[in-house]
Amino acid sequence: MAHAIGGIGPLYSPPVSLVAFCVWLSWLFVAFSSGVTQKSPVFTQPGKDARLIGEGVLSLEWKFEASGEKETLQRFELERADNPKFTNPDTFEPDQETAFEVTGLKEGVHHFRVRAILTEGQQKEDQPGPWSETLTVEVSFAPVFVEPASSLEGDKEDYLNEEGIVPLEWSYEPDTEDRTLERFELERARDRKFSEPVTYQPGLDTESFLSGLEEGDHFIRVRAVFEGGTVTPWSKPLWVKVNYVAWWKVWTLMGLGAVVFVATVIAVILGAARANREVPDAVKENAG
Amino acid sequence: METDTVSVLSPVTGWICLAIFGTAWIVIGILLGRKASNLEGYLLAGRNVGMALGAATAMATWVTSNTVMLAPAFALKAGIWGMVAYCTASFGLFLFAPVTKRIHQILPKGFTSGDFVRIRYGRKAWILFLVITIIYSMAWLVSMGIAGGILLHDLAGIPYVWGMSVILFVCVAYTLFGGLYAVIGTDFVQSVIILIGVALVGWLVIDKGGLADSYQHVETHSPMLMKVMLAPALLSLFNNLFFGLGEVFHNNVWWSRAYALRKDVAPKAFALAGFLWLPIPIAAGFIALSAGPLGINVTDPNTAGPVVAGNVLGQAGAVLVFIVVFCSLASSVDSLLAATSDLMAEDIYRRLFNPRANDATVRKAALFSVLGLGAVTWMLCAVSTQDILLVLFLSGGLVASTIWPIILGLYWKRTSREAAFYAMLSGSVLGVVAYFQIGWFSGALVGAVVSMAVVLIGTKLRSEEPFDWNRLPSEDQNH
Repeated sequence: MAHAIGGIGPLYSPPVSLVAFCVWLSWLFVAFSSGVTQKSPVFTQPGKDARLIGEGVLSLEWKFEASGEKETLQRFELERADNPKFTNPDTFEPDQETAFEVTGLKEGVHHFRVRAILTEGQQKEDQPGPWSETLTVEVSFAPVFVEPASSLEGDKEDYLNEEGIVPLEWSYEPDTEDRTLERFELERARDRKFSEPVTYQPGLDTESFLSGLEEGDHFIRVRAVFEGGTVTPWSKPLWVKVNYVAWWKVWTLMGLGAVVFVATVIAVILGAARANREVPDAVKENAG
Repeated sequence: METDTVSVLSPVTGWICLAIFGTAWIVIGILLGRKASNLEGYLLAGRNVGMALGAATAMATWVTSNTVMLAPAFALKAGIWGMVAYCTASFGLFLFAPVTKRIHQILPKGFTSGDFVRIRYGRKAWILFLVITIIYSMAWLVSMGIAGGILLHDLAGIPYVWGMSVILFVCVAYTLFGGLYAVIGTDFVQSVIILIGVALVGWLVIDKGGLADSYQHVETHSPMLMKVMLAPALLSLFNNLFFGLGEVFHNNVWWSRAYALRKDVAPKAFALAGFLWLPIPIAAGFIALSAGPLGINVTDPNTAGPVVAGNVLGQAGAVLVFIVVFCSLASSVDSLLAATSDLMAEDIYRRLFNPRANDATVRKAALFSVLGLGAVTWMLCAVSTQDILLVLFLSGGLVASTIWPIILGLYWKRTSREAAFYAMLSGSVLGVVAYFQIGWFSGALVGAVVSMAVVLIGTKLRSEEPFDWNRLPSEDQNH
């Protein structure tokens, strides 16, 4: 081992190190000037993890600034896929516009990304820039919980509560004007399959309040019911976990409370009993 | 698509009710206010209030917008224990009943709770006490203005700012003209309306919903509300108890009534008020729990009680609910305006800034305090909601920290002044810390526990000259 280190020793002699540093610096310069740091577009509309309710029409907007003066924007390239790896994507070409309306989106989760296609200086070949960060949008024709919001991933509970209460709020836009909304229907169950659901009737309100839930997991979903009995699909279930306050904490605080309360009652009773012994002289005189 | 909850009453009906009762309170206030010929008359209703008026004013003051809004919310969130927890607030009135006798004994000419703390514990503890009580009183006052605006909006569709403004204007007007005479007189009428109204509404709702149906529905949809072992409900039990005890034992609303009531009737009046108040949170809680079987969706637990009652009873019943709500708001807002303005005029203006002020000047200061409090409350209600409610909940630790210093100071001459100061300080600070670190259910509880420990241990360790009881009446008369 010592020999091996001795063998590479000359590489780190001062002159060689200086040369190596200069080479690294040159590489950095070349890398920067050749567009490795080229900027990607940034989605501005809709926000991150957006939810689209209703018609399946999505307006996308993004901003983009070319990183050098010599670059010329040719067009943007927009992709949509139903998977985050963008296998078999649909490609859209919004030309040089920084906005695009995607129509006919089906119910489910959609992923979008956009990149700029540029030319640099006298070059005639298109140079694709880096992709933007992926924008995930959920399209739903069913109501969607906005409070608490259900996450798109679904591997962690959406709402953790220590008191067994859940304030609920959902959004809903009818996908067609032909039907008249009669009411919403809310279900809660202990499993994702909703095998033994408890039904709540919030009427036409888009809010409700559940309380007195047992400890553990609860799944809640909502749907719209129209006149004539037709219904929307159920919303994506909301996963609520109830973890009541630890019992040691309850008994400790209750024990302290009981002791202080009993002491307070005794103090008032004892005080009232001895009140006549500790009084101003004027009061004693009056009593006498 | 957002769907607003439809109001139970039309705004026109709501405005008519507001106009009739608002005018009635102002007229009663002006008529009764004629009796207030001097400062004692204005601030303490001549120290000659009898049993019926005394019990009625204590009961009506304790039926606040919090009772109307939070008692149903407690039932919806914490079930049976929640209702019991809310009822424990009546212990404040029960335990304060014997204390009123002591107050008359040692401070026969007192005006405010601040008078007692200042003479008994000295300036340092008095300033801290004033800070605690002003923070709490303002938060309570503003929370009632906010609650009033919300309730009038939910019941009758009256815009929040207008509803809140009318309630404050009416209460400021009759308190200004009539002082405590007006407050106690209107409280009597209001307490009769509240008692009859709540009993009638509770009975009608339960009759319509059915106790068995309510039980069945709650058992299915909110099973833990019927369980004995519901952790947050059990925790709220003692916290609420100490919050109530702290409110009554320290606040000038109750001390001014103790001074105003005749010595022989004060303990009985407070005890009776406790018994009259006790069933009100139970009735309000049952009304809220009837929502499910009656097919009423609860969107906000804080307004569930009045909204459920109004929905179930039709227009006539809804008018009754509206009147009860208006009475409960007015009966508390007027009391707080009167008692807090007394504190500002007597403790802050006279004691801190103008010790030579005569009674006429102090009365003027009290008038300006009522107007000022009304204006500040209106502004805070107009601009803020959540922040003030948070301050009110946080103040549980502050008010609970005063319980033991007050009790020991009233009865034991050896109670240390320094220990009382540090008990209030440490109880307040640790109560607020507990609120954030442990949970909302611990602020008042921790405040009371810490304060008790500090004042007892501090008094034991620190040897101070025993308090001379003669100082209380003599210094108190040096106005």
